[in-house]
Amino acid sequence: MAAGASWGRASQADPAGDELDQWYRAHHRWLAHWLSGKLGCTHQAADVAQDTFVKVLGRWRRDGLPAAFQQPRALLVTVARGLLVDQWRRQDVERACLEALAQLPPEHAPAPEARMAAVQMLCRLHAVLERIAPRAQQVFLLSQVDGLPGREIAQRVGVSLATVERDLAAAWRACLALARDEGWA
Amino acid sequence: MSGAGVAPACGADSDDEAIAWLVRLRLGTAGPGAEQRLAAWRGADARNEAAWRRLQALQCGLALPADCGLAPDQARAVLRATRGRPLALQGRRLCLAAMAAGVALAVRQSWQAGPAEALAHWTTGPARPGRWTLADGSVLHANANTALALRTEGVAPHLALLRGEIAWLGAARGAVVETPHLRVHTDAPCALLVRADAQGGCAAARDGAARVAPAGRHGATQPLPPGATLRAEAGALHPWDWQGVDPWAFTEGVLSVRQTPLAVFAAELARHHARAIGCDPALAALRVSGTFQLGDLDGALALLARLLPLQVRHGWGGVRLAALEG
Repeated sequence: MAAGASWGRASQADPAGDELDQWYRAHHRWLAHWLSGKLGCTHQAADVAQDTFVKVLGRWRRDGLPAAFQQPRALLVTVARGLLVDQWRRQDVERACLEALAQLPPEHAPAPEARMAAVQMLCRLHAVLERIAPRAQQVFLLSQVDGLPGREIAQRVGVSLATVERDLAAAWRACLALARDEGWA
Repeated sequence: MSGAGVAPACGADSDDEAIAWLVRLRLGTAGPGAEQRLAAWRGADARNEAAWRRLQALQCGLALPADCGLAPDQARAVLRATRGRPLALQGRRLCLAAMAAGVALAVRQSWQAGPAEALAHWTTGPARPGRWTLADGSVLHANANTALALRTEGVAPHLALLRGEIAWLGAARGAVVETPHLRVHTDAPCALLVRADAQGGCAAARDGAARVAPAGRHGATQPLPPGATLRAEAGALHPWDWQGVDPWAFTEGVLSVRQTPLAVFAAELARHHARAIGCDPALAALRVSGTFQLGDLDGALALLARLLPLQVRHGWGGVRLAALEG
């Protein structure tokens, strides 16, 4: 989108529309320039800048005007950084996933949409694992990926069943928090 | 969490209660009559029902699709591989932290060349080359799928190329580029091109001379005159023939080839896009000449199909250049 363009997603029915539109006009060019300097690619910078504003609007609509809006550029940089990390994580996971799938015989090759679903699921798991303690990671994977029952998980990890329950609950709380932050369906 | 088989306490947050139910059901510790007790809990309050549905949807989004082809141990391996790459994600995080702070970044990196202090660390993804102007005025191009760490403090700049390819235009005298397989040292300001792949690495110089040595073998240093390319593989250096590929052309966003074997051309495209692009053995020796936009894979393949007697087949896992039928 050209610098100075309007927000495009805001409408008169949106109570935050006018304010966000002004906000967008005031900072979009700066953010795209900042990202371009960091990424070395104006196209990629424009994509990330747009995604940043989309995400900020989503949060605005969901949570109302946050205090961080008083420092708009700091907020934009924080959100943009998060998006870049997500993008890189997805690239890493996608590459590793494709490498694993490339080992399959052609007759077992999944459809493209199933492949993309797997990549998305692994990206989300990856994000969850980064938010929980190492033992909870182990428990969560044994439950969610391997589908093992509690007693077997407890045996493999070497902890009590109650500890497995606590760890798994912590992992699901992290999932829920991430889903809220990231807008997962 | 309360003990197995005991209903979550009333009055607690619905999300926490929903998680407690989910955990017990998954672990098989919910006890007899769990389904009925769960139904009663869900029906007791609309917030409970909403929380349960939310959690169920989330659980589906975090389950391995049955038809995705990945077994649990493969999914695990993917997560292990991506979470264990210090320079693939964690290093970039550090880089981002440095961006935000606007200060130099000191990264401890551990690879074959040994630890080094780095000022910056960049990576590029498939079909996403990067270009940066450095403080000394030199320009650094990173091709797609490249990871590098750059240190500009001290006597001379030092660039560690972990994977991918760089073209450093105006690299200062004394600049060093290291890959897991080779080390390049400039004798005068020049343009350097260095590639790092799984098997080895290549180095070429332009507008000036440099020296190259296989990694860890400084005694085997060889001069790298302008226009020449040396490849390091298995600890030895040998001259490298690009087979008509202009290795510098990626800095202009194009793949430029002249009388290049189709197999080599396909490998170059595949490298840039991180996709499998193969060609039938019968076509491998066909010659390709032209300039192709690297950012437009479909356009490049369509142009190729017009230039040569072949068809482009898109299938699972990549693209195949096949002979025309009939």
